[in-house]
Amino acid sequence: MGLRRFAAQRPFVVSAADGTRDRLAVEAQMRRRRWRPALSPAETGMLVVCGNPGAALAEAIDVVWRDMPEPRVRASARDLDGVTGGSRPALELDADMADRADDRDGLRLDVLHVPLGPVLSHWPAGLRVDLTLQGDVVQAAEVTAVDTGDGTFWTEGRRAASRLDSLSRFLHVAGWEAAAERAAVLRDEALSGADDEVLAPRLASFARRVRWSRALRWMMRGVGDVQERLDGWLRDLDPARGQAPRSEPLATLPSLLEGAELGQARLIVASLDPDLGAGRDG
Amino acid sequence: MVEVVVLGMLAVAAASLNGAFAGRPAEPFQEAARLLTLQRRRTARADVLLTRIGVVSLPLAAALAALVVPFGDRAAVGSGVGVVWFNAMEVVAWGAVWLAGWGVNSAFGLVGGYRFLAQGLAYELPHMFALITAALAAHSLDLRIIGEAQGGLWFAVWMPAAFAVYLVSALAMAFWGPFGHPVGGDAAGGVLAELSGPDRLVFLAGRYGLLTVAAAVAVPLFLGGGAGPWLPAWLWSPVKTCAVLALLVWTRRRFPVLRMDRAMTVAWTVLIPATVLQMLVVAIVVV
Repeated sequence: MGLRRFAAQRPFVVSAADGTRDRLAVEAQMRRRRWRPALSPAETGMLVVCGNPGAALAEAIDVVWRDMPEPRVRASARDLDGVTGGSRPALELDADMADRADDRDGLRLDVLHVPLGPVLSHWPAGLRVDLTLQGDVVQAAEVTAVDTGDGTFWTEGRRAASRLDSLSRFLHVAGWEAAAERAAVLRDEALSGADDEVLAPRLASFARRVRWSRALRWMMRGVGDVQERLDGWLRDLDPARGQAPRSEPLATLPSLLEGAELGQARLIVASLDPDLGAGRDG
Repeated sequence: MVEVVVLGMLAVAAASLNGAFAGRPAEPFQEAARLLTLQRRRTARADVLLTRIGVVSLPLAAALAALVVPFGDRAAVGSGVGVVWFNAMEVVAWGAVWLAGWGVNSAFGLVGGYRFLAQGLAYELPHMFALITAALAAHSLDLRIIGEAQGGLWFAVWMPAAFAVYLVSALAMAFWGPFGHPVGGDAAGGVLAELSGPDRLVFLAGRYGLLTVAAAVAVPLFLGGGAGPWLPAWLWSPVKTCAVLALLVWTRRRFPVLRMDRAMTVAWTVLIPATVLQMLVVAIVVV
């Protein structure tokens, strides 16, 4: 059908904890084809799974896949031209009615239980955070590592690229697409072993652009230690000043999220950016 | 009616420009083709009727607002209260976005709908003060008369605060760029999260329509309407509209999203006093 051939694809990309290598390949292919990623499964009929999801993640992916609009295409990470998935009956999904409870101001408000992840765009692979929300304020959070790998892709030699990957995800969450896309381009240049003399000034100019964005600072101020972590990543882009990564255990996450508004909670998670590919304590 | 059609074309051009910034100038056409061939999907226990009403109201509000936009001294509907009509249609858009977010029965859609209402609370008062300031200076609510009243000096020049606030509120009403939180990537697309296929296409078209109409109304309000050398008045209006529209579209590349839990304070403590002061100055000058 002519119309369909003319249409650009917009894949919904899901990564398993060990799927980093695949995901980078997919993102590079998409950039070459000038495709954009979908933010939600409803946006598209194309699903791309990166890496080898464990049983729990595979099940979550299957639920999402069955619920995607037709025509559905499931493509492999290596070849985005994909295969048609065939029609499987959509699952009968149901949503519970909201409960009610007192909120922080003593008002009786609806309580919603909303899972973030493990299938969510710009989200750490394999992570699931179950939120208890009133309005869009987090009352409680429970963290699960749904999928883990047995060795990180982001070895010490790839530190700058690793920071750029985290930055790209963070900037997407912060709603700054242009800067996020730039971070991804620079990440791929760093990984392809681009000449330091070419890359260093590009990294410096990118870091300056992000650091000097007053709107971004404004939105980060007072949201946990988000700003410190972002500044740390930007510093690490300069090989002369970079420090070894400090990882914060997942167990601290719930206490950081409680009381945050959903948008803030996303920033906090994005600023921690746990790498579950490294193992359960990532 | 030519004016409305031209504004519709400018809305497509705006989508194209947005794509071109990322190297995809054909994006609106490719997206339209993609969404038209994609199934319309329903969420569990969705309120389909409310969702559809919301989705369809958005482009409808934009089109109805476009009726009173003058090119030179001609508008599709020559209304004496164009400013009020434009403002009313923009409030229809609030309802549209809220219904679309609420109706799909999804937490992300709901959060997106709430975000837009919060945004409305932040921008609507400064926006209305900005509109009224221009109307006050021209002694009229008719966009054609306001445009012609700026003889030698454009309102943008001697009421810069009102003009700046108007541009900000134009972005906010179309939830575009720095005001895109209602459809934010941190909520899987917010109001857009569960809209699929043709529903999504119609809703997105409405959003570009709103952005375009907001840009077009800035021309009679602040940029001298059809006034300008060499070109005829009916041509100057769309030319100026293109310039404003390009500026609005570009902000998306330049700024991250502003969250209203932060920006609300500034709206009430800076933007409202600024526009009230601006109106006071204008009132003293013209009366």
